[in-house]
Amino acid sequence: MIRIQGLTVGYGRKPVIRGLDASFAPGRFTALVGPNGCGKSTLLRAVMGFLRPQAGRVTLDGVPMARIPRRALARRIAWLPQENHCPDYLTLGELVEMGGHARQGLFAGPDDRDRLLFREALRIVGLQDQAHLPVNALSGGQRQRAFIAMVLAQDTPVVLMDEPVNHLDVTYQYALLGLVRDLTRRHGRTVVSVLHDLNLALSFADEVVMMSGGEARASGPVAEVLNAANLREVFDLDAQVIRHEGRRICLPALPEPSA
Amino acid sequence: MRRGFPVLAALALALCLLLALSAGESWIPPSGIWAALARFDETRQADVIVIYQRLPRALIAMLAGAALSMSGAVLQGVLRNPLASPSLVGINAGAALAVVAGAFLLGLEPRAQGSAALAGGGLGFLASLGVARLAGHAHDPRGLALILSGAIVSMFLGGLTQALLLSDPALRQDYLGWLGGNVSHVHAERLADFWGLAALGMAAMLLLARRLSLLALGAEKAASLGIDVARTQLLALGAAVLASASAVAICGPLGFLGLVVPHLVRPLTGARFGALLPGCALAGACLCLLADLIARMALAPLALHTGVVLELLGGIAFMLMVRRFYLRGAEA
Amino acid sequence: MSSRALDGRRVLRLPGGMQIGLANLAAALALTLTSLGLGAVSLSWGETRLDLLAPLDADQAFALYQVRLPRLLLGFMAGWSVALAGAMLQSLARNPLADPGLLGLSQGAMVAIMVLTVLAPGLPPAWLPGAALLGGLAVAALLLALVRGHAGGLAVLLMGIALESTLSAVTAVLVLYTPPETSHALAGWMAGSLALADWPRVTMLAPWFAASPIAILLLGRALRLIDLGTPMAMALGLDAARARVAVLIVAVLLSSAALTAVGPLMFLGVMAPQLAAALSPASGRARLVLAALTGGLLVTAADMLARNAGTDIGLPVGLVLVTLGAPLFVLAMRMRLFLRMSSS
Repeated sequence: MIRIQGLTVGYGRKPVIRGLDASFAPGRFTALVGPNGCGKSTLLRAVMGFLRPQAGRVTLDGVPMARIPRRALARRIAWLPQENHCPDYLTLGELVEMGGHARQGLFAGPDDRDRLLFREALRIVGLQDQAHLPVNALSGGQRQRAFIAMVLAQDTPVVLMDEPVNHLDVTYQYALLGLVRDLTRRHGRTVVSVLHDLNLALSFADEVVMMSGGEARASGPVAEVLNAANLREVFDLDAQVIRHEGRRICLPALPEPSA
Repeated sequence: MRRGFPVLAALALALCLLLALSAGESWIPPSGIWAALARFDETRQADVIVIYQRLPRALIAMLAGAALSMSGAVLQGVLRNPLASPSLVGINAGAALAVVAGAFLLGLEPRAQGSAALAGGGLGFLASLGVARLAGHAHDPRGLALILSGAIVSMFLGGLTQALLLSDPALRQDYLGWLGGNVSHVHAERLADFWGLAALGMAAMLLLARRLSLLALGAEKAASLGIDVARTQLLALGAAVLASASAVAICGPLGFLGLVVPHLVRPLTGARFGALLPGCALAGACLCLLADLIARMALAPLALHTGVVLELLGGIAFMLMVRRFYLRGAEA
Repeated sequence: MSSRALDGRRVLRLPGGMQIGLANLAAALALTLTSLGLGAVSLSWGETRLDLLAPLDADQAFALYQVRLPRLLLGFMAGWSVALAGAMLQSLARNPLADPGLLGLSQGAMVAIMVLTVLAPGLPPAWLPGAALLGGLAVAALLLALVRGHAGGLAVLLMGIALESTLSAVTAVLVLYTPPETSHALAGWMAGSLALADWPRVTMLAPWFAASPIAILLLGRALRLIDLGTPMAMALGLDAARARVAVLIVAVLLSSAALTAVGPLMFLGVMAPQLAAALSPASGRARLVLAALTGGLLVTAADMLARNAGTDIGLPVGLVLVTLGAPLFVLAMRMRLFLRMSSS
């Protein structure tokens, strides 16, 4: 279980996140939502240890993250950034294979189990026929799916994702988030995902953490917490949360026409 | 400060000029300088030194300083790149190679070398642009790819120049000095040959000043105000190449003036080219004179090349600029 | 024997789990054979033509063993080292235009050599390689300190350019204090020349050359991860900060060693990796090996041309390299761009 206590962190002098407390329930899909600039990406980066916190700490199952060596951490947590860089020479297949880096030794290559895993990862994102293409030759949506495949190939109990589906077609958005939910329900993995689209959060996530201004304003089961009152407070948004056939939908109010 | 700057700069320039004429192996007081200028007597040692050595040297320094600084300001404006300058986008290296190649391979007379320099400067610039595009960084918002390409192209052209120098030991001595950026009086002939071209380039840049200021607002905005963007850019760049290549033809490549002077002057004159360009010319002339002074006096009796001093100081200035412009913000 | 990797490439699976792309292996073999072939031609060619298969007389043996063979070996090793350093720096800088000369590493080594020559003219030449290495390492350390915390590629490159200019100027100042014979020799060396190749230089460079495959083995995979960006590399399990420093040190050592032996081979560090990538796209260790082989081959070819170009003195290999390589470099980059644009 990832627990964050009193975290203050930022780029340069000014902190983006101030005194944040949160925990990500194991085996559940937690959505991280909030207006632009509230620190969602920063939070994930801080959890991954890319930023040195000015105060507070992050622990994984009670052990401070800072003490866990990179390789060991990579076998337990996978991270999918919002923007991804890829050199020209990498093919899709090679990229996915790199997901297995932490499991391989210095000289060993992927074993049979790994290879099955890689193929499955490609199949899940629907790119099994494109493995021979250079990653940079893929379209924006395909690239995003490529990196998702790599993260899946990393085969970790915890996955942190930063806006994993924002460039994708609706079909793929639903398919992938469905898969992510599967990961938690059937395989017991922990997923934390920054989501821009509140309706996706309402449809797929179990828990939600709502952030604004560098703090966690509300957290808990998505059905309870993602309500009109919190939406107003966190997003300054006038919206209704409607129940329809067992699902929840967020419906923002239309702005008043200007005179 | 903005109103007063031209006057202050002109005063500073006059002072620097006075200093440049006075200082040297023998210190010649202002009265001596006046005597040399007004009542030249060729039997008087001091007069000869002033008129035949220090004055040409000072004139070359001022012209080169002004030309290169103005070119730098124009390059930075048109390319929208705070690090652009004749030495960093391949103009200097191209012009230098053309001159050396002309002298060594074709036996060109100094007068003809000027045209070679222009061609070389232009080609060096185009090569930098080409390599930048090849490296595939077309969406490079801060224009850093161009600087890198310019550095690579300069390295390549510089290598060719060095190799050419080795091929003819006799000529080598003459040009090795020139290549270091040498404003010495021995190049007074070159000054006479090329000052016109340099002046033409600078005049052209001044004439384009108003249009350049409008260009700085953005291509679309400028077009909507009636500016022919492509033509203005082409003319401006051409003028910059003309001025800087001519300067190189006179005294060899001098680095960093084009880079640093616009940044020093801009806070004092504002970004409007009508004030920036003359400011750069004056400040550039001043700095070049000072650099030359340091070159002559710092390690006396050994004489450094002015270009070396500029590279030393300019390199440090460049490092500070990189820190200021590019090392803020998020970590890698 | 061979099987297919995930992306369909044919690979050779070695015991222990490593896999090598067959296409890359073929390219490496081709490059090696071409180098050997050119090497053999280079050895037998020249003013006195030698038949390598026939018994040689004393003069011919001298020409072969004391002049041409060390020259060939030195050239290949230097080309290999510089190209390898270039490929590594390009990964660190995330830019195809990074070169040891561009970052001021060569200039740092030169300054160190000149300072030593000036301060201690009587010192035996055996000290120079050590001085060059220290000079290169000092510049690398300075570079890292200057871009502290922002070792993202472009900042390093820009700082490198600034350092390079400053150090060039320092060299120019130091030249004033060196006696004319020394500065003549230095000028020749600065153009990148194999004219002074001899067995002592070969033995000086040989250990670095021999150690480089170990570096490739250890760092090849790390570099592939670093190419994805430092955060992603860390997320995948690499101690990226340490790896980057290790790679930088190796690159500096290799380029400084080559520099001491042969003088600066400007531009090779940029050319060779690009050409190798155009020949046979590869990642990880294969990419490094192919870049290094291409570098060695280019210098061998350039030297052959340099020696037989017809002039009495022979051109410095640096010049030939640059003239040969520049159009090839442009071609290689054009192909890359074309490929990238045509497939998207």
